[in-house]
Amino acid sequence: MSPAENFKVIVDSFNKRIGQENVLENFEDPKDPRLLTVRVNPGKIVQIAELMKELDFPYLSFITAVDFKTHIEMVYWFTSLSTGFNVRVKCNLPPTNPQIESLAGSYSTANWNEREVYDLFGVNFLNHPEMTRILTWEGFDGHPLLKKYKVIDDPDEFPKSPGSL
Amino acid sequence: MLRTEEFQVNMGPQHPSTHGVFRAVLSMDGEVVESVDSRIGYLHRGIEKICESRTYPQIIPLTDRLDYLSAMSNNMAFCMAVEKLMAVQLPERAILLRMIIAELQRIASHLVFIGCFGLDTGAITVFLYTFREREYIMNLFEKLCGARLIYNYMRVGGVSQDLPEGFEKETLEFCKIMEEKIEEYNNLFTENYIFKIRSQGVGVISRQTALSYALSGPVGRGSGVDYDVRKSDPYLWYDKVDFKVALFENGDCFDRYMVRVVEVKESIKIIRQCLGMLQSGPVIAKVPKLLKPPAGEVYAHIENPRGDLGVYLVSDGSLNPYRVKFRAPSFVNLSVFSKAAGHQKIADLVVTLGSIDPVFGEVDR
Repeated sequence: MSPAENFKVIVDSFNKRIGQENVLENFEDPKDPRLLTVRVNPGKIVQIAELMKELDFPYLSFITAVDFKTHIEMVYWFTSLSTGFNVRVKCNLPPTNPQIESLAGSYSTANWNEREVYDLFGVNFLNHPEMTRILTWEGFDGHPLLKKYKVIDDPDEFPKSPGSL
Repeated sequence: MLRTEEFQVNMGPQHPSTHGVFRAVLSMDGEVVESVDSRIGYLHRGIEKICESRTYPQIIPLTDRLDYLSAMSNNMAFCMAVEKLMAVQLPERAILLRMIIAELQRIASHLVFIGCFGLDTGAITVFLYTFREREYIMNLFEKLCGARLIYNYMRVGGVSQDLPEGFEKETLEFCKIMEEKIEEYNNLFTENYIFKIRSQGVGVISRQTALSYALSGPVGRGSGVDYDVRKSDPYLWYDKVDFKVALFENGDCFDRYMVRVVEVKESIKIIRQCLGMLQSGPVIAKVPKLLKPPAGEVYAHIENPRGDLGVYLVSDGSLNPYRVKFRAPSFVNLSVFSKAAGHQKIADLVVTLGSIDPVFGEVDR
């Protein structure tokens, strides 16, 4: 099956299973013929994760986020091991108090990936088994990969960690 | 009457068998590990944040510091992402040089693994043997770019400099030596009865678990997940060379070890074929001195020695990237450790962690 045909099947089943009103847009990338991008309503992410398994995309390569200031964009990257095609599922979250349902129930790899996104972007994953920081320490102030997080270049201005002299 | 109760053991973050700064909080029932709580982040340097304030060529040496045992592969993954964004066509010689060097790097990284896995299972000698062969590759890379561990050799559009004199001949010599030495390791180590008892049936990861945890590289292929980026999404000229994907079914530590042994042999095959195709020509494409890729989003991934290394790059058309995400195979592979290491003796936990072969520069970024 050519990528275009395969992608049509995917978009059709997205429209059918989670409702046309929840699939906001889909487009292909001229630079990358094996990639389909779908932007969806964030409320439907768990159903989409289950659907991706049925569509032969059992491999959730990574989850990440991008801070666009007006919104935080979640990126879920699914890969099909048999065809090598990729589906990128995106959804927009509000910049204040962003939250989305966790995928840790259907993909075990989501556990650490989502903890990383929580740590670095402050996105709260609902129903996650262990929603704690993973790369920075407990008690770290702020979420470093947000654009509003200030990088301190001058060592004298570094915040003192508790217990330091 | 003696009373028994579960107790906690804190392993790491400074511990010789955690291969870096990894902390595992173990709940022990006697000598049996009941549950494992993995704690990472001790080497977090905020590389993804630093990238946002650096220009594209300045990021290449930062990628060296991710997986420092395969710095060349990291360089290449980042350069490939920028090249994809800018639609740069690589010269033929640059493609082949990258493949030769990436495969040499794979051998070097797997040699470190084989040696350290020997230490984990109690075989000290094999460590000295594999590091002797790794020294050949270190010397080759030193001649190539002056550095032995973190190279900053790749550039956007190709590589920084051509091969030094005699590099091809020495690489062929190395391939010949390596083929003989692999047999030596097999006689010394792979066929060793004690080693087999220590690694077979230990830390088993089923295919279903491996898929759910998105394991890649030798950890995934040891569990029967037939996924190798070189085959499934070929980059450079990996579709033009002939090699087999090492695939094993049992998912135990021994199979993960065997994947790497077979991959060393396959890498030698790839290097030989690439050297045969090598012709003179430019080693870097014509790219502007000031790199300013167009706005857009791009994802490039390669098969690095530890698995599927991806770079997700968002550009806003300025000199600095807007966001860089490294899909680090060690990070993803390590997440299965708690599950794989539970319900066995503490000595087997060390072997299981060794067989996953995480590099903490990449896990913590």
